[in-house]
Amino acid sequence: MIPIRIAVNGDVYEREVPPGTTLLDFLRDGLGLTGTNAGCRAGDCGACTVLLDGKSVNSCIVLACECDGSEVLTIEGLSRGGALHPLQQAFMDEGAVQCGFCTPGMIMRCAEFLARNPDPTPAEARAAIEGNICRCTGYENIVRAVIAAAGAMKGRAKA
Amino acid sequence: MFKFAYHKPASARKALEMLSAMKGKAAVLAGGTDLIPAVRRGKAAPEALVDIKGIESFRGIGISGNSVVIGSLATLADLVSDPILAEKLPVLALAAAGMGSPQVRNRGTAGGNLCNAAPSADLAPPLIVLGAKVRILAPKGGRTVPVEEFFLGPGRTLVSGGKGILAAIVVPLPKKGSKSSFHALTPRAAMDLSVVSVAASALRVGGRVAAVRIALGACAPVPLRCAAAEAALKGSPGGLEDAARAADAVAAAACPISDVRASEAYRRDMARELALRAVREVLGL
Repeated sequence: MIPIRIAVNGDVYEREVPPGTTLLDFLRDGLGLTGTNAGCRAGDCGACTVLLDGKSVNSCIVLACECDGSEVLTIEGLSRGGALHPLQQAFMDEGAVQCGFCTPGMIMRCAEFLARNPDPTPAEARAAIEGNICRCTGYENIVRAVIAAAGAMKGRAKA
Repeated sequence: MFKFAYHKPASARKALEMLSAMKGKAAVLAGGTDLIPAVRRGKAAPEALVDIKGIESFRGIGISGNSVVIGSLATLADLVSDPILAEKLPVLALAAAGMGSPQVRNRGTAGGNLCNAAPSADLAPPLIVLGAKVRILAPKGGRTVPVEEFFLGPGRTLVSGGKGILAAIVVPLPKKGSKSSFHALTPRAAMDLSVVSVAASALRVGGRVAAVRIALGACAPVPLRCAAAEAALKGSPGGLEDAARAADAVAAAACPISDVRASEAYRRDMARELALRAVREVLGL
């Protein structure tokens, strides 16, 4: 077992993990944070995307023991004080959610993307989610939601 | 859950000791974007992982003398966004930007792309035409070897089996006026491996091609430097006919396989086409 100290959504956990446990399984089975979905488990589909020290990663191919000393943000930690994150609101408003399986990963990926590029073009938004597979929506509404969220976040920043 | 032990040494010396002690049964872990899926699929079964991310000297991208030194732990995202590469070696940023997904690029490393030694490794052809070398640490001392000599076969390099660790990639600063290009063919626009890739670099002096390098990816067990294609161009006026002869030489050097991604014949044809594009770009044709 490997001792780790890890901050998840602002809460610090000190746990011992088997070396072969992925960050994904640690979040879901160790902490009960099942908002992060397990898709391909091979780094291909993006469903398990979380932010690790601010960067979007596929949590299925990161080991929990590699995250000692790190900060993780999952979909559960994105909303603040009961208010949805603008990305969450925009995904609902634009009909960007159908079955919902890709949604947490899609939103976490876009959270990093909009932090780096607050005013993206639709083409940039489309490229940003190239590692997140959605089998329902055809991506159009997702791209619209990302652009809408960017607008909402700019409005909020000015207010 | 996977069955392996995990070690995170804080120094290269300690990491080398661990790898030696494990006699080839340990794998070096950097970003894990190739290694962890390989373990998942049963294609790798290391008894232990030696995580090198605690070794600070393997980090960073900087200029040292007449070279750009890229730490083996530099991520693909680092290559895409680094201001030094954008100015001095944009072809590396271009190649990195086409690899994997943003999530993979945030995690996958430059050193890992080379050490995984896929014949399609997209950093290899550009590094070869830039004249890059890899700095290898080994228990009996280190050495620096040209990138094209680092690969021994699919998945096999000079450091495979715990024989060493890739510490850094050293890229000489290109001569003023030289140009580099990289062309990769992927059936999908993202999250795909190159079916064929070609990189080229060239310097024109006084109406002649004074220096040229051409490298081919995904068309042989290892990334290839194409000496015959280079010979077809060096000293020539560097016109369209010269470029076509070089492209033919690249296709002749290709010895591709047929697999799920493409047939041998298609790869050979595309090697010629991509070589023509890559050479025309650096010659300004």
